[in-house]
Amino acid sequence: MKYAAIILTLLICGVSATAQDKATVRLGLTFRKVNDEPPVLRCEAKTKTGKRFEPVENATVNIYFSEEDNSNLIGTTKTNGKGIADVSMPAAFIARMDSSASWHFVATLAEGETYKGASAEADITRARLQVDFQEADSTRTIVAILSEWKDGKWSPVPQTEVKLIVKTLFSDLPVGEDTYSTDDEGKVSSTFDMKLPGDAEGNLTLGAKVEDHEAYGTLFATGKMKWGTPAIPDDSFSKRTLWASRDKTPWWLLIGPNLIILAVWGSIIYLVYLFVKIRRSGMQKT
Amino acid sequence: MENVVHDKVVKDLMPARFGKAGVIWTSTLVVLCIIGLVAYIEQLREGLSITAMRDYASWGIYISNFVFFVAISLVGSLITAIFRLTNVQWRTPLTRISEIIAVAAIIFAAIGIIIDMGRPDRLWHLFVYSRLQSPIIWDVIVITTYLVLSVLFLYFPLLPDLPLLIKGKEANPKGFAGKLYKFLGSFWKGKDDQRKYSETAIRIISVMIIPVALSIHTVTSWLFATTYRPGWDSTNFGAYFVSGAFLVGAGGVVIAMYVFRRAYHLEEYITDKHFDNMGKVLVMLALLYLYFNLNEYLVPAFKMKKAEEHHLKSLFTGEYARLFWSVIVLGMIVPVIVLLFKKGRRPLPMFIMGILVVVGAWYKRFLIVTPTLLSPFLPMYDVPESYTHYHPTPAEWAITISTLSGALLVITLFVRYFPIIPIQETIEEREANLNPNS
Repeated sequence: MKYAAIILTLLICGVSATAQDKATVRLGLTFRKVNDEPPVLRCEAKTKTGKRFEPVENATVNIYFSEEDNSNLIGTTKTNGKGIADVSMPAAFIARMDSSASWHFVATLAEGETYKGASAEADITRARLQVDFQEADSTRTIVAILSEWKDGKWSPVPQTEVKLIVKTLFSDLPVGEDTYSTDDEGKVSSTFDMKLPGDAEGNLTLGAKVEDHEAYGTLFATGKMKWGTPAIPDDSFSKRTLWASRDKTPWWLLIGPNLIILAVWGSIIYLVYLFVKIRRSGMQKT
Repeated sequence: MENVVHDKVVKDLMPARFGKAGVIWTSTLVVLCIIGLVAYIEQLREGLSITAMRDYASWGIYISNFVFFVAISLVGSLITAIFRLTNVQWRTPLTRISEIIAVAAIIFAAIGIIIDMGRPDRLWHLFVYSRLQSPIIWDVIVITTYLVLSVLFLYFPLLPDLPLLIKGKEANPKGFAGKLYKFLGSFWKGKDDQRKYSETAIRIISVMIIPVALSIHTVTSWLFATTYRPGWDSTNFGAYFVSGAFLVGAGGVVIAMYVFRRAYHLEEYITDKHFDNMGKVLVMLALLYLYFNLNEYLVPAFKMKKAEEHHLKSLFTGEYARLFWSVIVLGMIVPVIVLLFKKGRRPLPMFIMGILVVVGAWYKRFLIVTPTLLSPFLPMYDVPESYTHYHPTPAEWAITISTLSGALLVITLFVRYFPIIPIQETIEEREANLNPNS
């Protein structure tokens, strides 16, 4: 009896130890909307290992609209190598979203072999970020207006941080100050006097963004303007240059050194010819 | 009388079998070569990770050794070609010494590049996929050309000596030496037309080899100067390298003169006068090289640009200061001071100065190559601390020493089978001195 109690205790400890071995997952759920494109819901799953957070890879995530129910399932996806899973809002849900001023989202992460299940929720207020580009007397201005859906109409949102940016290859370059606070009309603006290379026609992608706002999520509004310097693509690699491939050696480098090489090796061949004459002369019987 | 001169010169200058010292010397070189070969096989198996070269010092003692070999090979053009064209009378006993040094050095310079390659099995890519825009290809072209010209420059003046060797006591026709001599020169009969062709060939090579020799070292300097690095970013590098090459080449000849003179009792042929003259040449070349060093270090040090500060301070007062100042003082200044005095230009002091110059020159190449790489304009982020220093591994030393031994072995074996002083030319000179009116 005594031994049975010990074995039972050990078994219980073992089971609880196995359960404890599974890592706790921190699941984040964020909302992101770019221009008039369908919103994207992003889940980020990570676990704490020692003092560092590690991404949870290849975990199954379900995202629901309003509440966790199969009829509300927006989509199912798996986290990538960075522990991130994105789901784009299907058209069927966009119509449901348009009928209310705020939305509730739920994300659940299914339990895996090494981690426990987790869930996250997000409440988003329906908001809109618009951007406008004005040009008067060679003064260029970017204007952004932030408004939210209230009482059946769009109302300006004051005193909220908005960034004005130029999109570059890897990140967003701030225009003017790092951030601006909206005025009573929900408006921010900045003159644009940066000299930046654009595309071949000088187009720059300019815009405004509200980043990780607790009520609105991330809102992005962009537009293209010919406010940049037209970039002439560097196609020198396909021309005869010092840095081109071997079949595009500059003519001067091809002709000059090859003439020298021919002259030197021609002389060496002549030396060999002299040697042959010396040899022949020695072989002749006198 | 002429026969007496002929017989004596032939007897004195014929190659001889190694004595006990010669056997020990040659065996030591062979053993060092084998050790290096074993280390190189290990490098082939494990890759360049067995060396201390990392992201910072991607060129180490293999490349500095390569530059050293290229430098010392320049002596072939100095002694043989320049002295021949300027009709320097006392050059005869030194021409073959300098040419065999040139040939041995350039062979091992070429081998040195292959040793530094992580994938030597892809050597053929260098030729098949070569880009004429790359200074490395220029180096491959000039090294090949210089090697061929140097071998010809060694061979043509050797032709008149070969019949003497065939007749000599070594000439067992069935032995290795006998077969070698016959293969190389049985056709030389000393006929007028043969002499004419040979002289024409030697004259052509004498003229050609000077620009080729200058290009080989200039192009080697451009491997560095065309790369934007502290210490290499110089328009002066070609002339700086050529002047240094002349100095180390002359130093190498002085050492060889002393060793051959003692080992083969050639006091009558390599005289004190030769040492005296070479001493003066050495002083001139050392001063010239000092002048270029002054340009290369004093001018950047005067400006002390931020980006170059780390490199210059590592040489002047930092990690490499002891080596740097030793090279400048012992490898250049001390030889100049000693050799300015007549007593300093006697054989033994000359020999010691020659060693200082050559050893100093080897380390000078190391100082040109590695400290620069450890001081990049744009330091790498988050590299292990050990990457910012370079201490060659035992394998690198073994391989490098084996290439130096290999070059010495080539010279040693040449001297074993061929006269190190041209016999026929010496006979003709002596006979001409006996009959100045003939």
